[in-house]
Amino acid sequence: MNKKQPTDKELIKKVLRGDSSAFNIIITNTQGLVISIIYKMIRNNEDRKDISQEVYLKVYSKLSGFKYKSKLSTWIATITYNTCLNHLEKKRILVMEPINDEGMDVWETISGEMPDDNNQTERYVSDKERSEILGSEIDKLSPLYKTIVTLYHNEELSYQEIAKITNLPEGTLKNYLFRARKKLKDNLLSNYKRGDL
Amino acid sequence: MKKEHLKENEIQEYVFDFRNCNYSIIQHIDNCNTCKKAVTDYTLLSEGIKTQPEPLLEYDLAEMVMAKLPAVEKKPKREYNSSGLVALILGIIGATIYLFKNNISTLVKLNDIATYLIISIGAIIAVLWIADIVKSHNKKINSIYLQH
Ligand SMILES: [Zn+2]
Repeated sequence: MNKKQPTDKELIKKVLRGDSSAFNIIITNTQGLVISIIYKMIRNNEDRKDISQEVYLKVYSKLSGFKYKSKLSTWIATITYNTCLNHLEKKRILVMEPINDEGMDVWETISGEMPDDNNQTERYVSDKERSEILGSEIDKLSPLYKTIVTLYHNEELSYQEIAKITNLPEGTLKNYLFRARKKLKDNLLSNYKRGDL
Repeated sequence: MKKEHLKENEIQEYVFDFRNCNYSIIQHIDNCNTCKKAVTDYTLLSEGIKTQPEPLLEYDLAEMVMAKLPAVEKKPKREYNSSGLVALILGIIGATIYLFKNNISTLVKLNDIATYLIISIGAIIAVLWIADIVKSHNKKINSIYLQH
């Protein structure tokens, strides 16, 4: 028998009436998303732990002000992103590197040589190695790029939802996503080439 | 069909934003192996990102947060309701009627329209007054709960 999941509204009502078990359900339902953002934005493990708790304590104290203009999870993700942003600002860490397009066309035309390079590497790099290389390349991206890539590809959020969480205009968000993917693809290809040598 | 190969952003549009993708881009990719390969690269990249392991928590986040919540949870299990207050007010009215029953019965015996009018207006005022007291009382009680 399938027990009906309580809606956001039902859970919030219960929490506001003092039912702590409803808040426990909210944490369980949303912690995957919260942790995804924190792990991409913040490097230090102790800070990650502190921020994850800080986020939910903020959610708890602000819950009566939730206006149902978005999904509860999107609202919580926004609080998470802003909490991380404040932390990075305090530590004077840039959320993204300045974009340097001078003298080059970021959106260069696809080169005809690329497929050969790639085919050659496929014979040498195993799936596991490939995944590890990709993991470390994602890790090298700026906190903002890492976060939006994860929200889009892993959490499968819409452009609209990611734009709301990061407070970026949708056009800018798409542009950053394009850049992040291109950077990943270029770095991966150069990595595989080095692996071949 | 475009003669030049496509640009990176056009390839990405095809892979990740197909609905908004220009028809000329779709047509080019259908007829160009080089650009088709670029599409495959981005598709593989996307699949690779999707299969990255999720971060594993070494602590129980819910448990840690619940332990730090302000101590509001010691709220009575039964939801607050104002039936006690209503009973008290009705009791007072009942007692008043009982104490002054002689005077009231004299009034009722007079049996004219003015008496009924006075009694009905009195009853309406009493009902509105009780409703107002109950409402403001509930408001205060709720604000006490929410303040924590
Ligand atoms: Zn082409």
